[in-house]
Amino acid sequence: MFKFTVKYHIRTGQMYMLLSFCMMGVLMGTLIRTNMLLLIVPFLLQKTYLNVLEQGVAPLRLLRISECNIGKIYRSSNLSVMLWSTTGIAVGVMFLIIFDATSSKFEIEPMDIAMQVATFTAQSIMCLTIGNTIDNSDLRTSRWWIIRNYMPQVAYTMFAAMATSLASICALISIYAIAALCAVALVVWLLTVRQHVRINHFETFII
Amino acid sequence: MIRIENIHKRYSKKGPEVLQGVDLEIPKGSLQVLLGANGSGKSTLVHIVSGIMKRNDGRVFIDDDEVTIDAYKYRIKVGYVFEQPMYVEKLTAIEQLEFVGKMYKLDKQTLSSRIEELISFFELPDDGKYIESYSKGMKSKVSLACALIHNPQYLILDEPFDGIDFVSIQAIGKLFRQMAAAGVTFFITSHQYDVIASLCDRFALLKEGKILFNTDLPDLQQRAHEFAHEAEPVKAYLESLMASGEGGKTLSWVK
Repeated sequence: MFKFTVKYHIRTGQMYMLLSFCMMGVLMGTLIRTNMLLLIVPFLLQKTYLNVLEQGVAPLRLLRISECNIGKIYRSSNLSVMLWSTTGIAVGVMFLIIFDATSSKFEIEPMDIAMQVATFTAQSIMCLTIGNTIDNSDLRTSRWWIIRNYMPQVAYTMFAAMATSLASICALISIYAIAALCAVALVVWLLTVRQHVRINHFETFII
Repeated sequence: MIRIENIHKRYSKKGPEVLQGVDLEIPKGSLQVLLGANGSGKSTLVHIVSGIMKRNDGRVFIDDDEVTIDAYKYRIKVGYVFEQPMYVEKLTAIEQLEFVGKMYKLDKQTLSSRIEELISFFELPDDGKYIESYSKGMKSKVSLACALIHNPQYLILDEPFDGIDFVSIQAIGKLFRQMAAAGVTFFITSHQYDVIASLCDRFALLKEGKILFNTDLPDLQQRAHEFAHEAEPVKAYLESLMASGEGGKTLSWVK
């Protein structure tokens, strides 16, 4: 499943978006010494983070009619997103190293990079957990189209903003705080992703 | 056996009732076709029988297992083709079949041999092109191949022959008859009357949300006696049923 998701992200171009946003985030973030720039990635790529069942490889109907465990879809799609964003960060860091070697004006602080990566990872895991939960919630099949069409995005944005604030606060405290947040977020992600087994609603609105 | 009992469906509280107490029994090993004009509720019934759409009232059973939201026992026994595509456009036919096979938990060896056979039977390309570049008929073939990969005992097919060429339809029809003889039950909706007249053995007509008749081939042939001069009287009878009341229609600007 992971192989299919990775391919899907390449072929639909979502991987290029993740790569470029993360790369630019690292470069710009290091230039102006902030870890906030990488944190807008989950907002800019909301579709990738939120609409996993619709965007993440398997068509909804196929998931409904087969015996497939949708937790597997969430897990592989989330891991693929993390893989491509980490690759983007790695490419960004590589560029920084090249700039550092060629320019005397520019200096990389390894701690700054570590902080950026840890903050982004913690926030990204939290956003993926939120995205999965909303994606398989009753918001998707509400009787009212306004709720069905807009509430998932609104709810995601609100929770993602909270995740960003939490990650930023931890990043301000120390590298240990952000590392601890990363670990907690990972455990929560693992626990929640295991709870998604079936799509828990009918498809009421199709003809 | 597929048993459909008193199905009612309304899309909105004030809207019309699309299905008004549909009852249908499809015996094991039969090739049942559901006929009906556009908008008569065929696809709605197919979606309800497949368990992907809510019904307002009534029950559906597949082999005594009731079709409900959390019932998964029956799903492994059923293969589906819906009018709306269920494939991933960015995969190749082989990748799509591999993916669907994995969803049905087929082991590696069985999966690779079935993929090979299905690719060869449906003459699907294995040149690495994505499904999005296939023709309409090829896409329908991919859907059919996906429905067959887990060797289902029931096949629910909504317009399965859409865009498929005549020669391939003959081969698919032969395969379906072979499968039906082995006990596989088919529930098909189609507008290709020549195909279904020669393929299916049970015919039901859905009109204004109700099953008008559900009969077998000998009975239908008897009813079609008035078209005995036609090469395919059953097809002519079915066409006359579907066209009834629409013969005089035209557009004002067409002279």
